[in-house]
Amino acid sequence: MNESTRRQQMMDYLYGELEADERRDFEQWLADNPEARAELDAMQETRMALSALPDVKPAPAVFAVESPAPRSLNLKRWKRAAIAAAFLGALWLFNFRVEIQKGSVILAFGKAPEAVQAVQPPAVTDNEQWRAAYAALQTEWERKWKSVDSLLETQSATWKKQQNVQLAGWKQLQEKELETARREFREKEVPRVAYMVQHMQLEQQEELRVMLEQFWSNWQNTRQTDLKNIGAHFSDLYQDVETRQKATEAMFVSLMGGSGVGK
Amino acid sequence: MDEIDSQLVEQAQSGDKRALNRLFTLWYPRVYNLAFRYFADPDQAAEICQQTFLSIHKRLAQLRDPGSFKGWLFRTAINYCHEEGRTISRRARHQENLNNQPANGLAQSPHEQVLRSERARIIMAALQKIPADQREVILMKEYEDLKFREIAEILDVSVNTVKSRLYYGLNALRKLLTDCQLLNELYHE
Repeated sequence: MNESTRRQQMMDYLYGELEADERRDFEQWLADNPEARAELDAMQETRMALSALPDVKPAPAVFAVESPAPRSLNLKRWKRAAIAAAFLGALWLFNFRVEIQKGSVILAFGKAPEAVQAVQPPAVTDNEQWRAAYAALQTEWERKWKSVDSLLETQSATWKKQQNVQLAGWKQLQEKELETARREFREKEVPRVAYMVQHMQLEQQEELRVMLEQFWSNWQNTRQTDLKNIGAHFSDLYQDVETRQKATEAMFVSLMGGSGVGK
Repeated sequence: MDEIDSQLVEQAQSGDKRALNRLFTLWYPRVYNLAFRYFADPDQAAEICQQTFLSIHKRLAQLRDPGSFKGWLFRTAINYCHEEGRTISRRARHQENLNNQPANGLAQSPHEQVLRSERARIIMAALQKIPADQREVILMKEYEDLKFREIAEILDVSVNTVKSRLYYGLNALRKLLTDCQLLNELYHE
């Protein structure tokens, strides 16, 4: 095996990309080449060191490329509408008008001459007339303010209604997305989890069976060893008793013989 | 995973923004980690991600085979890494920053936590010291679990070249880590 082929195969072996027969051949080759085996072990250690570098979690704020938020949350649109309404209200409040006089277009503020004449108080000559003129102007301003208030209230109610409708639509969309996610989970994840649980149960059953078999085998061995030991003890005891009995008999015979000699 | 990617790519190509966001959400952390380990710098990683996903977003309609999305994405990211990597001085500055990181003290972000961890810090520093072509192969093989064939397609080189780079890269890393006595520690744990 040349150097280049050895490197290629070593990398394939290290990352489990060899076919079964290639793997067997390479392992046989490794068994005859302790230097290569040592190099491979060293690389495995380096890989183990690399695995100590954890993943980092990026900031979630940069995840979304385009926000799928519904239009109801588009504040710019509302801001533009409010500014436009305020501008129109201000124009109306200050009597903005466009007049065409002698072929010219004139943009003007304030009351038109005719209107001024219509609401212009009579020429003031004394205090009573000043008061009347002031009251007339005040009434006119109050009427205009009420109109503006009423316009704003109507506009505000319309906006609120539109916003509620859009919020309801957004909520509905969210619920629909949630339901889709739930359904996807039920369809994809639940069977997988069930399979894993079933697999775990079968593994546990197998482990239990092996454990019980080992326990039974151990218990039987222990029992047989105990019986053998008890048998051996009994045998020793019997021999001991027999020996002692013989010794006692011998002593007795000796004693009896001794007394006979004495007579 | 590839099947889900293909479906999401097809949906995104037909204008489904939700599918596009989901696709990006799935792949953003992978690209981020690749770039983070490539440069050892969170800002650089975020920049690479931004460029990569912006490019992917613009050119998604041109992807003819949705099944090749993963390779396409990594090829784009690695190309941006190459571009950024040419700024050698920036790399040197990061290296200096990395070496000056204190070993103790409170971490304020996940990146700092990683860099603060002594072991991770040494590995990151070692990764920065090996040649870029070896580093990128190690990153794609070790952390992204890509096949040799896939890496070869991404880098537009032969499979044998990929294996050679990995071989030399692992050996170079081993020498660097042995100098730091990291391998001994790991071995005796």
